Amino acid sequence: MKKAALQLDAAKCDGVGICALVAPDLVSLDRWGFPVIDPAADASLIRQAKRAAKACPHRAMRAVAN
Amino acid sequence: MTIFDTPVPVGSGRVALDVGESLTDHRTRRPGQLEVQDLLQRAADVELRGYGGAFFPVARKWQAAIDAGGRGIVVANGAESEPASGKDAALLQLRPHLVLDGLKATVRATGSTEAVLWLHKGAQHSRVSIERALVERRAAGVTDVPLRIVEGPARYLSGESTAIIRALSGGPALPHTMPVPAAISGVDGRPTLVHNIETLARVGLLATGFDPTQSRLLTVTTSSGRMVVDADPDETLASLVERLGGGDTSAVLLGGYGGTWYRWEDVADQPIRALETLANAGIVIVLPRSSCGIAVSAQIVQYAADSSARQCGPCLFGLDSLAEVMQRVASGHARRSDVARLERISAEVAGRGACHHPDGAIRMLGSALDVFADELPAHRRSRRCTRRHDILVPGQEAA
Repeated sequence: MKKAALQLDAAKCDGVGICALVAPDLVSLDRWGFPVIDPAADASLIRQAKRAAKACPHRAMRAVAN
Repeated sequence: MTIFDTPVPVGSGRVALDVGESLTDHRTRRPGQLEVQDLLQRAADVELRGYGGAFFPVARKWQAAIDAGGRGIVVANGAESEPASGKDAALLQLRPHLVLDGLKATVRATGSTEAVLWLHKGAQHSRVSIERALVERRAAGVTDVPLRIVEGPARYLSGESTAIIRALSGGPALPHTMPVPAAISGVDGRPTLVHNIETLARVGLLATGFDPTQSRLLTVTTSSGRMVVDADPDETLASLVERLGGGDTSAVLLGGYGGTWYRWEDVADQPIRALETLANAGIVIVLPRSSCGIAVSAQIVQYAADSSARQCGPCLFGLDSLAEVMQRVASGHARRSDVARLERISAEVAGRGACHHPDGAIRMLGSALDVFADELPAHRRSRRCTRRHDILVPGQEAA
């Protein structure tokens, strides 16, 4: 199984939602505004993953390069 | 050789007969001397597992701590958060020396250097019992590793192992994401073994030459009260419940508030052995036929929502939404779309917390919607549920 390009620490996330703006092909928001990472997304989206990780004000996301 | 000879009545974290066993009585009772030689191998041979709910093999956890260099911390987790559980309080208060034997053996067998007893704030009876036992042991010349007793906030998730590790490292007692297992890198980066109290008691039995897997502690709640029993794995659930005064029963919740509902007729004739893993931390809640399972489940979802550590959005908002819909259903204002709504929200929350708290609530709710499906129509506007709705689930009587 391929590993998702982006990992979330749910306890750190406050639902700011900027990740969904900078990584629209990778992250969507649930009904409460918290990120859902597309489980099918793989390493080809690493650039978006890095953007999301960098944009998060709580550092709740980590881009996984593999 | 059982841990408790007769059922122990428990309630609100307090054991009814609060007379802990003395060191002399304990020594007379135990099968042999405490011997830690080859204890890890013996734990592996009898396939001893953790009794906190995850059933992780004890020997593997110990091996991980040893491989990580040892010199770690052993935490006896006495923060028994499940409101319908009483086995850990019963052990701490009635068999303190058995627990301390197990703790000592675990420390020795894993080359650990520190021991902590983690309790809920206000767990006075357990604390006093252990303190008294420690004084007794010291006076008798028993050499224990110094035990530090630490109290965490008296809330549900204080007993979650990553919350304990975070608190003992100087942070808040809240669950968090741990990239590496605690046995390898836990409190302040040291190998940390968090063990449930029953697990340690069973290590205590093993260390004195007794196979500890021949019985199972269950906390059984019936309309007659709550009892901790050291159950014979071959006894059927029906026989056990009848013995404890459970009357006419329609369903049973196995595994506590994060467990699974079963129709009584599907599990009644099963031996405890077959239900062991289903009962998770050994929690059995028997629903009288006269009570409404929908109403009980609504209360439990509300309890789970109120117990959220409020860190992860899907848990915080999702459990609140589920509780709100269930409240409406239980109060007789169910809409036809509510089951689909509950299932949709559940699917959105599942697996998205830093800990498994929301997953347990969803598991319980999903099984309730299945087991009590026939009762749902009676909760729509025009119909009336005739079962009792005024039952309080444990944990809500004392807010």
